[in-house]
Amino acid sequence: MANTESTHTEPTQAPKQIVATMVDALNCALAQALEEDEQVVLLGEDIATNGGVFRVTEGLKDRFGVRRVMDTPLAETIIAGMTVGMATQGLRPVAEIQFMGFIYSTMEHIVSHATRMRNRTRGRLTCPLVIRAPFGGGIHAPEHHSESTEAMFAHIPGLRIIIPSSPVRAYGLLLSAIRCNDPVLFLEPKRVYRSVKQRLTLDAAGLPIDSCFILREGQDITLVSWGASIRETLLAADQLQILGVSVEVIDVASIKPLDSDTIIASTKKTGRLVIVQEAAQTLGLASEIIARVQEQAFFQLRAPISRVTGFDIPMPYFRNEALYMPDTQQILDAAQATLAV
Amino acid sequence: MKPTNAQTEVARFQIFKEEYLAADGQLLHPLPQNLSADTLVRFYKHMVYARTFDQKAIALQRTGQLGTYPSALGQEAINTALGMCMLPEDVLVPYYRDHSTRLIRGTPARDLSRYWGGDERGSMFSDLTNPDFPDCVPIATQLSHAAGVATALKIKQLPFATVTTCGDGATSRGEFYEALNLAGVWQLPLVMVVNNNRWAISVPFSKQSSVQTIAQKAIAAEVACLQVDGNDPVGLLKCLDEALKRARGNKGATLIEALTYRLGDHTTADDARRYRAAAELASAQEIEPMIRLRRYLTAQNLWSDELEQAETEQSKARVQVEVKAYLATEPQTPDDFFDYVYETCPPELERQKHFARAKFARLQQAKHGNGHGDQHG
Amino acid sequence: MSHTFYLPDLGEGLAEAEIVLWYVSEGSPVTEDEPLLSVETAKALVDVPSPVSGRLIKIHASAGEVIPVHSALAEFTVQEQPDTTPAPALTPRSTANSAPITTEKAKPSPSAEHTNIHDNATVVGKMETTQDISEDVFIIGTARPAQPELEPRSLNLALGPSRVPKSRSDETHPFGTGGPASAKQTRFSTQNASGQTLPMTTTPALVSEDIYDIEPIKGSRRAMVDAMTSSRENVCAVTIFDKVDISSWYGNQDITTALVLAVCEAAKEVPKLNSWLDASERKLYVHHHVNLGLAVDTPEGLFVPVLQQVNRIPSYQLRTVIDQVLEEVRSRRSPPERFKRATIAISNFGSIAGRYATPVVVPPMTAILGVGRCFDEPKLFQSKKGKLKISQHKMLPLSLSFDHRAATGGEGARFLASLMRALARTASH
Repeated sequence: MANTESTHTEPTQAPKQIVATMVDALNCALAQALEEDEQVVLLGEDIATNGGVFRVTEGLKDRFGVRRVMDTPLAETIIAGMTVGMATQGLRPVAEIQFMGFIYSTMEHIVSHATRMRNRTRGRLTCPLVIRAPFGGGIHAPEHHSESTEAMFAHIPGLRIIIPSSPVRAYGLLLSAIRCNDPVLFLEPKRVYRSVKQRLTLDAAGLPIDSCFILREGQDITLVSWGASIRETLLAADQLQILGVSVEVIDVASIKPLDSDTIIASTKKTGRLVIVQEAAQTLGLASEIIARVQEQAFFQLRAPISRVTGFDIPMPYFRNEALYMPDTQQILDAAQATLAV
Repeated sequence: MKPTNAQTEVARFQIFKEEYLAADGQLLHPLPQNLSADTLVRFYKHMVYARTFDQKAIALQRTGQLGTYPSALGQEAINTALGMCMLPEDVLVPYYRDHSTRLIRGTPARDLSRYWGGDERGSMFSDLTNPDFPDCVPIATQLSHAAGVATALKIKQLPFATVTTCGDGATSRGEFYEALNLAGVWQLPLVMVVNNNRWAISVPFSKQSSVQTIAQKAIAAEVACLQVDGNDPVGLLKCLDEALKRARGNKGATLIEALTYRLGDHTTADDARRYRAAAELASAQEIEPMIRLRRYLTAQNLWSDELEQAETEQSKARVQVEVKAYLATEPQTPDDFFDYVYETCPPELERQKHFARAKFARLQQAKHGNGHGDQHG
Repeated sequence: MSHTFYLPDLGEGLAEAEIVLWYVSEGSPVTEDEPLLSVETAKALVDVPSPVSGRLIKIHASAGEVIPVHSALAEFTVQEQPDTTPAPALTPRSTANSAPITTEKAKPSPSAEHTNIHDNATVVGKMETTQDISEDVFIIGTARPAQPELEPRSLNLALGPSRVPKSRSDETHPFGTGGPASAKQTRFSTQNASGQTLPMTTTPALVSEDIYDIEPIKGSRRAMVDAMTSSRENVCAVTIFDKVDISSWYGNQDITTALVLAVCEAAKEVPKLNSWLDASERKLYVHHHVNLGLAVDTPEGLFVPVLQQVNRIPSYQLRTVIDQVLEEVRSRRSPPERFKRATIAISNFGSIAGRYATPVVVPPMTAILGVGRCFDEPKLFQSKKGKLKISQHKMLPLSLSFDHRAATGGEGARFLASLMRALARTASH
């Protein structure tokens, strides 16, 4: 079980409460991590002086210095490789890959090294590292800047993958990810970066990274999603609520290892499951959820499980993004079809 | 490092920088033999057009009619020189700031606008004989592609060259070294041009690498290399022409580092004032290529204010025609997003296509139900 | 020809902007791309260029106003040729763009001359922003079971007027797994067949008055959830209750040891209750030895250490062995094997409180003995002189649960009878 507890001493006054976007929340979490543990270092392109192209690391170089908040040369492979090396020597590096579209050259280091280090040294060397990357579409960016390929990484043993969907949970999840001793891929849905503002208590509390979050409790149907699609999922739940349907909404958040218990328990209760996934259909996370649910809750299902996903095509350029990304109407249609059985 | 008695020198290298036209518009050396004044006037006109388009693109972005766009302000000379020196059969494998080269090589500005406007057909190129690659966003990956293209040309024994470009930041990536290494060991007909505009988003080159020159990185791959003033049209024409001829003549690859300055932001969504000093920008503006060439041409009585005015108006008019065509582009159909994934659309994708058509119809209805919708079709 | 200019998306995903300054006045000619006005967004001051050449005839929003994106900003009359007469300038800057393209300085983007620093907060695309502040509401982990409902409700989906949002389409379910891919519409209704409105159920959201601790269910409690769920779903339990008179040895003999010995006796006589049931394979593994699970209550939860082959342990050693095992559990030093392979279990809840119970049979076991709190029971007897007298007896209440899939009622009863005989016979030391 991952250690999610704060290692800092008790604050002498009540923790501060702020209004935060996800960018603010991540910034606060990084600041907290840097403050509580000297071994935490940040690295990435444009993160120090420029504060990151999305401003997630804004102000951190000024506060913690260039030895702990480092601008790297432009090279994802070496960023990943050196993160592995640093992590084995007692540091806790948090590397930023500027966009998920540029993460593929890091795969060799993640797959062949970071996720195997503990296993192949039988625990002697480990990689307590975090690789952060903005991902997903919806900000009208040029090509390659809107990828959702978390499924590729979810196949790799030894890796943890976390995807927050709200500022408050982004804060707690990132703290836990940094404190955890396993390699973590922390994917930040950039469409949510600034589009949601929440009251956030800066209490240094981590959230569990082995558990789903239930955002609404209900009895008639379960909607499961993660990342930016949570917004459309909640909107669909609102509409279903108006029509008299009691909807349970689950935010997966910890994509790998997957907390299928929560999803299965919910499906056993409601008997109906719809999964919403921004990524392309084939072999996305929805496939794994469906496989597990049908293994363990087959007889409790009242309708086949349904998934609302992107198409199996390269994401269209921004002008036609809306065609690709699952919208509220699609979720409603899928839910209604499931309820009609 | 002073050698000890036990050490003997086994190799020594020199890096040269080519310069002809100084910032004040004075020639430092006589014009190369085959370079006529007329060529330089055409060069200048190409730059006027390129900069006109560049400014228009920014304005389009600011009025919500174009997506994020990377300006090439101040770097037009490099790409103009490439465009003028390349043969139609040479292949261009660019990164994303080579607008002038594209325009000269026949890609109309409407296609560039389509690409940056979020329409895949911008890279389709209405001229299907154009062999060039589309713009490349993942940094430095085009260099490996270029090595492959050059290899193909060599295998087919075609007397043409591959030209590839990248920025200074790209030279930190492994791909850069791998491509150079291959070019060196296989003697590829490749000309690699590094646009060293000193900035990789917010990272100045001094933080990117501690080398004195990027050109010297080619030494490690046994590839000929040269530095050139990237704001000097004469110098650029001369060394690029030579490098291309070497490549076409199967004499091997060349790495050319063109020194210039990124006068604009990284893209229209960036703001360079966050991380660089106004004074530095001001002094870079003094030595930019268009001012210097105009000074020279004016002194040679080949240019004047009237000609400037006329050329500007004409460029604007040409750009206007292209922009109108861009803005009038028919939207793509949903089928377009499915029909180019495979050669023939497989059954599982056919089913998704059917669903996409229905979704598209619904979205269209919602959009045109609104009062305002997009300003662009 | 007139042209209405709507406030565009400035690449920052803004919802609204404040008009700062108009560079051109109403009635003046304008040239396309010439700076028209400056607006302030959430973070930056941006110059918006004129979209057309012609004349600005109407300004819809003046300096200081805040207007939403896509609302009307200005009206123009559009000319075919650009007007070359200089506009009457409100600031000198407005004539800048009619100058030749190469001025002494190459001009970066029009707004660079402001001293305010832009911040689009991205390097590509546009970020959607918001002014709304919301609360984050969530529960960690396993879904809670269905709430009991106060009123009956039905989802009557096929009848009644539709309240479905109107943009229906023939978007049949795309991926074929979500129910019948029917071309006909699926209609929702909040009314049932007789036209009565169905009750709306809303799930209560956590509000600030709720005070709660979130306890993740981990470790032994998690195991307990799983074990009990499995039992509920599989076992067909029957419990037989009885009490046994232990007056003869009460106070002189350890109860746990006595129970252990008694269970071993009963298991010898009715081995069917000392077994593992594999219902799917239709097999009953009837054990020869007794691995007795002793339910132990600790602050960390329920633990059931197993006394392996306890029937082979000499009776005088039993107490020591039991004490050792219990000590291990209490100090959390038990090796993992300690909790495995139980064939039958005892739960002595009576040490705390309670008389009779329905203890839970945990598969693959088929029986469990629940032991309640000793109590005094008066009994009438006839003295030697024939007088009716009352004596006090120490009674030990027993609740034997067994899985009726594995054993018959008779077998269960006989096991209990044997158990009780053995307990009654317990020697007093």
